[in-house]
Amino acid sequence: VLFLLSDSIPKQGNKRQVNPTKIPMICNADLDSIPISVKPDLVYIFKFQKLIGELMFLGVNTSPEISYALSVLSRYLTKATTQHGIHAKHLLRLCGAEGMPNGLGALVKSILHSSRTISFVSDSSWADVIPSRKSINSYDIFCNNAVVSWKTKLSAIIATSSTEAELISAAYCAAEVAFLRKLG
Amino acid sequence: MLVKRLPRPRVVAKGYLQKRTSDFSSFSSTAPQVTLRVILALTAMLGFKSWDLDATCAFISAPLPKGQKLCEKPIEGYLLPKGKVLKLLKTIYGLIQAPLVFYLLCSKVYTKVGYTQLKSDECVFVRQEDNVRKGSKSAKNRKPIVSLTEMSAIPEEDRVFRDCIHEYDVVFILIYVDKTAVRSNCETLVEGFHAEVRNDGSIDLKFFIGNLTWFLGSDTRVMN
Repeated sequence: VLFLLSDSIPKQGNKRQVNPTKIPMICNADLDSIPISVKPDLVYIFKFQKLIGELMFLGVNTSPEISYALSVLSRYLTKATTQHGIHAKHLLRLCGAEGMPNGLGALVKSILHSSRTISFVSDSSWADVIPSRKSINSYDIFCNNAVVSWKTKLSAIIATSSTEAELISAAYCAAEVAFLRKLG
Repeated sequence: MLVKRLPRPRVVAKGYLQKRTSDFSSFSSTAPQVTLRVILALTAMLGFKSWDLDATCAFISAPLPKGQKLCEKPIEGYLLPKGKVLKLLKTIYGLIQAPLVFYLLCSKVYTKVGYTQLKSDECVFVRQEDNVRKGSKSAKNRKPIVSLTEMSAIPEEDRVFRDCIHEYDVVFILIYVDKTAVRSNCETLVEGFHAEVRNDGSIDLKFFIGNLTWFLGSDTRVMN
């Protein structure tokens, strides 16, 4: 998947000039409070969109760990400023981190003589997207201990309690598991 | 055939001029990434390999159903005498229903060759064969298995196909519009599939030889 990122990561010679990090997003980053300029810089927005598109390919195909950061960043596709860009570039620093020399990837491990199993994790935040007070739902599904399906999504419904938010998330997950059970 | 002799990029139907009829559908099913990853998770063990097959002149090889369509507008770059039209025998690039017709052809040919289409995902074709020779030692102490990951390796003299180390030969085929990805533990079966499709004659499949780590756009690597 390296080829997609190669023209976004700043390069000097053959060595990538990145300051590697191991977390996909700055902790407690509040992208909503970043002021949006009245005159949007169209060139910058175009670059931002291109970068998010490239990262989206990674996020959808091989790397579940950046899916939350992508779902947050992709809300600002049409009004991005340099402040948003800092968070997007943070993802690139993750790609250059040690232990991930070839970009991000999902590991498929083989476990011989194990029975076929599907396990899943679902989680949800509650009302943390200000001003709309929506929740974020997410799930990961594992097949034979290899991550197979994942999603992070801004909830379409407003949950009135954290229990409700978790249930919405579990319902999304159950729908996907039902499909995977048929498939396997 | 007329269409095949002309240089390929020149012959393109103006799909945007097509009239909306009952068969006006561009649906072509492609294998989702989830399916691909499930197959990789199920087959992540020694002995499984990936192949990439590509259909040459993919859409051009699919015949249009009977009673279908005169191409009313002259094709771009090809001058017709006045008052004449071309009748399309096969789909060409640009035609709205080309992907659908090609997909239907693929599923027809693959089913004919002996592969089962999954009901939960129509882009996946599976074939499973027993690899244990009857009357051999391995056949006697055999246990029933539920999933692929429980498969055990068997000694070479008990195998039906020599190049497959497991007790079952499994072939997964994924359709990706005009690409076909194969994941299998038995090379003989894959070659057999390729030969049979070629014998059938309606699809011209070509092996991509070289880097087998690229599997439908994602890089797969074997790690210890």
